[in-house]
Amino acid sequence: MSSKATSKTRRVKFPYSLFRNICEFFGFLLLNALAFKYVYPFIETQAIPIPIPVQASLKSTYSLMGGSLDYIQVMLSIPVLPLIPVASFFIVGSILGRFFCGWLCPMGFIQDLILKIRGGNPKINPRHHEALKKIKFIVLFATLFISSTLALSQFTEQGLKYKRALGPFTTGILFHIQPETTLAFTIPQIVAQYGYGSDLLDFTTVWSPGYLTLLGLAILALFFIGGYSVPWFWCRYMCPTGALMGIFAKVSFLGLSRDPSKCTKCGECVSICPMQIRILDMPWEKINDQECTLCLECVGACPTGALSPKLS
Amino acid sequence: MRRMLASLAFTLGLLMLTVGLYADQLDHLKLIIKLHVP
Repeated sequence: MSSKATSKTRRVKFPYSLFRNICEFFGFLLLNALAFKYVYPFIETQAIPIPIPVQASLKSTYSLMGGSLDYIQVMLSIPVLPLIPVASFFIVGSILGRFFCGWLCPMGFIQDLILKIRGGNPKINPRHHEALKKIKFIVLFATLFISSTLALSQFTEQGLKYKRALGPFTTGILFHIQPETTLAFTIPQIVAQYGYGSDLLDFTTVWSPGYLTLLGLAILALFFIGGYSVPWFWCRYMCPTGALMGIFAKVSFLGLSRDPSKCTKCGECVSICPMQIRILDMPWEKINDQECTLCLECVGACPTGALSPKLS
Repeated sequence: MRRMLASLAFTLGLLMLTVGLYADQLDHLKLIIKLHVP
């Protein structure tokens, strides 16, 4: 009798996790679509001038579309008011929050892949987690501060001196050293140089001096080692684009809701959340956390179906 | 309050997009791609 009752009440769960992974994979292919030019030379696609609010490098050899933050940094260095890239943050952020981080971002896809290879979902000390979360806001502030002061200085006599002092960081402090730039631009450059008979240890490329390449490689190592130790390390603690989207995620239309009549407070949602969000401590009507990437892992894991996405 | 802020951000975004397109910023974006994408 009890088994009959169980089979009657058993829900057919939508495979949110698998569906998101497929979306992420296609997002990764779409954003790096120019790579197909090297496989099929007859393809003559060019990069599209549409800024998207994800961590996609404008400098990447394979990028079909550049990240909005990269556009903001470059436009401020000209200086031009970056209206369209800023608008992309406002429009996408106000509706979807950090949805793109979990469903489209190529760096998010790699972080997810590392987590899948590693297995499990280790938690870190909540106090450390709360402190480390602030790093990405510091990175964002430093990036925008340098770019905006550079833009303002160019209307004075000090502009040229400031530009010279910044050297290769004129186009933004992250522009040359972010993980995707190293992965999809600097490393292929070094390999190509080696192919032309240069010394592999010579990290000075046509595009960047040696110390910048080494700094980029160190940050890439942090990206991989951090991603292996802590789930979605880069998205949680380092990504400035994620920090900016997180500000909008606090008020975005899209969020999650928890039905208190169905919720048994079993804690499955909290234990599976890769961003370590304390879902049960959030208001049940609407969960809008600045860390939530709307990956829907919690929705898929909830045994009673109490959690669901909510657009309001 | 939350919904009002989201609406405000969305409206501001649309406004910035319209002004940006009116100011031919797409040409700037194309130029940036030409200069920075290898």
